[in-house]
Amino acid sequence: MNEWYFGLALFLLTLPAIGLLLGFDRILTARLQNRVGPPLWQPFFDLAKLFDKEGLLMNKGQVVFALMGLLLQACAMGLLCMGGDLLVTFFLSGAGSFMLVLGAFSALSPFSHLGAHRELLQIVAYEPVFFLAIIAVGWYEGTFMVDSLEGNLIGVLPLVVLALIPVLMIKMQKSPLDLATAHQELVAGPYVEYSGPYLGITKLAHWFELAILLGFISLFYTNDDALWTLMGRLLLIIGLVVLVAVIDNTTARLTRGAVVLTTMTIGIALVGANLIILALYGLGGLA
Amino acid sequence: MSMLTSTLKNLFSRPDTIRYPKESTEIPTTNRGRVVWDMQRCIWCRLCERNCPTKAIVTDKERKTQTITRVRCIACRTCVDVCPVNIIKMESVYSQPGPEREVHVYGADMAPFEYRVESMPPSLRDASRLRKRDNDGTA
Amino acid sequence: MISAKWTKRSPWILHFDTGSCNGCDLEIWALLTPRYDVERFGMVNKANPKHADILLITGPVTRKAEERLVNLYNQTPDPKLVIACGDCASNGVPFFDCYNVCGGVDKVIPVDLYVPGCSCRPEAIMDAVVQGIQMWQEKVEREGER
Repeated sequence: MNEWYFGLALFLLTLPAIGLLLGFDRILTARLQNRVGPPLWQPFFDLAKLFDKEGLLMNKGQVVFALMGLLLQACAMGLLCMGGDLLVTFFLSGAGSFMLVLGAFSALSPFSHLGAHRELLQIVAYEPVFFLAIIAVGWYEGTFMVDSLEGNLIGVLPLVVLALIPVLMIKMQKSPLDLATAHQELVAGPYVEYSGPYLGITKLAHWFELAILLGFISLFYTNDDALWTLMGRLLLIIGLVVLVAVIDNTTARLTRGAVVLTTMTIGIALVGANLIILALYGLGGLA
Repeated sequence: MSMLTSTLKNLFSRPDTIRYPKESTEIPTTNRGRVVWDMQRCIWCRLCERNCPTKAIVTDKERKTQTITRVRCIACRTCVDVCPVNIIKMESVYSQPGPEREVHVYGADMAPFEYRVESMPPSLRDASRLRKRDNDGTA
Repeated sequence: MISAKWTKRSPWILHFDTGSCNGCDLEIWALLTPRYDVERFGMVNKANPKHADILLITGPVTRKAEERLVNLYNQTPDPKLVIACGDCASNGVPFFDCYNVCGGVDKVIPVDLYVPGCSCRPEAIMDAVVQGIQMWQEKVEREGER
């Protein structure tokens, strides 16, 4: 895992993999709604079209924020692929999602501002849970370096994975928790004032953001055999995406307060409970 | 919970979608698609033109033609009901979309229910002019 | 430039009601139902002019809606396509002599496709969209040459 070219290959594979995953998610959603759904390559078609279109801008700041968001997310993903520090990855990715909020605030549009406010609420809701999950991993392993993580984490930290499901729902913009991009009421939330290639850039940043979370979740499963590790991680991610899609199609959206409250309380409680159980049994690297 | 069972049932059943351009959908026979004329039996009473609520029909007695603007016809069936010799028929087939607004001309020298497609003359394009023509005493 | 084969697979639509009787609106919403499911062509209803490629306009364009329609048209990035759905949008019937109606979308913004019918059948709108995607691709190619 230490070779640099392995990390580079993983980094280059990220975007196609996430695109395929999103295409799979759209087909699955369509099938759950008794429809046929778009082709598997649809996210790539969307992206290609967006980069081929004219871009309308409110101000130049939007471009800066969109590009900065993409850069930060790509840096974070690169760090994760190269086996870097989980905490640095988390903070870089957090800064990247904050760039989206800044870009939305820079446009003089009430819809964009509303979306930005809601995006901030989402960040408030999921960042502590995500952060605590990383802390829990670090506490158990005694290190934050992805390279030196070992052992089957899902066996000792199963509640942390459960706590990450609401985080995944928020990041995938799925129904009970999608505040910012609530498509029935806010249309596109913080993305409202982006168009053409700039929307494509923010979309790419979002793909990286999703990849970081999914990459972190995939770290929870390891096996002695490399092939089994790969299969297990893929199964874990696809299983979670299917679960999120089913929840998306069976529930209505929560209100702003309820989203923050449920995500934080459930997430923090689950991570905390898991850590307390570990501490009681005297496990964990720092204990 | 009932939502969960129904979505899961959807997942494992055949989708409801008709893949339209490849498969054809069935249009009910009672569908009000478009009106067609058999001009060979027309007695030139102009009742259809006069009764048309949207002025979609223009009868030309000298050229022996009946002209209908497809995008003006609301398929209300008034002309079919009003025709004294029952030569107007309502078909269930809908009119096709296109980049130009088309005018369908039915001539006395043509076979029943056959028409030729012409582009919309400027006199029909402007609604206000149509109204003036109406006030001039043609009706 | 990116191949038009890829770009034409993802037309995002914006539906705007310029004072229609809701008949054609219902038919447009019927396209999104499982029975017709236009997401097969990659069409998603985006309700946001800045993300849209195809404008589906219904209604005879009232004087109040005229300003908004022009605004939406200008906010849609090129290449874009305008489809007038139904008789009202194509020509203003049966409201053509109303004092408060412009009488058709083409009086306000250029229209690429007219869909006849009152209200137009979902199949007709689908035909128009399939034709429209072809025209849209030609537009994309023309943009690429420029």
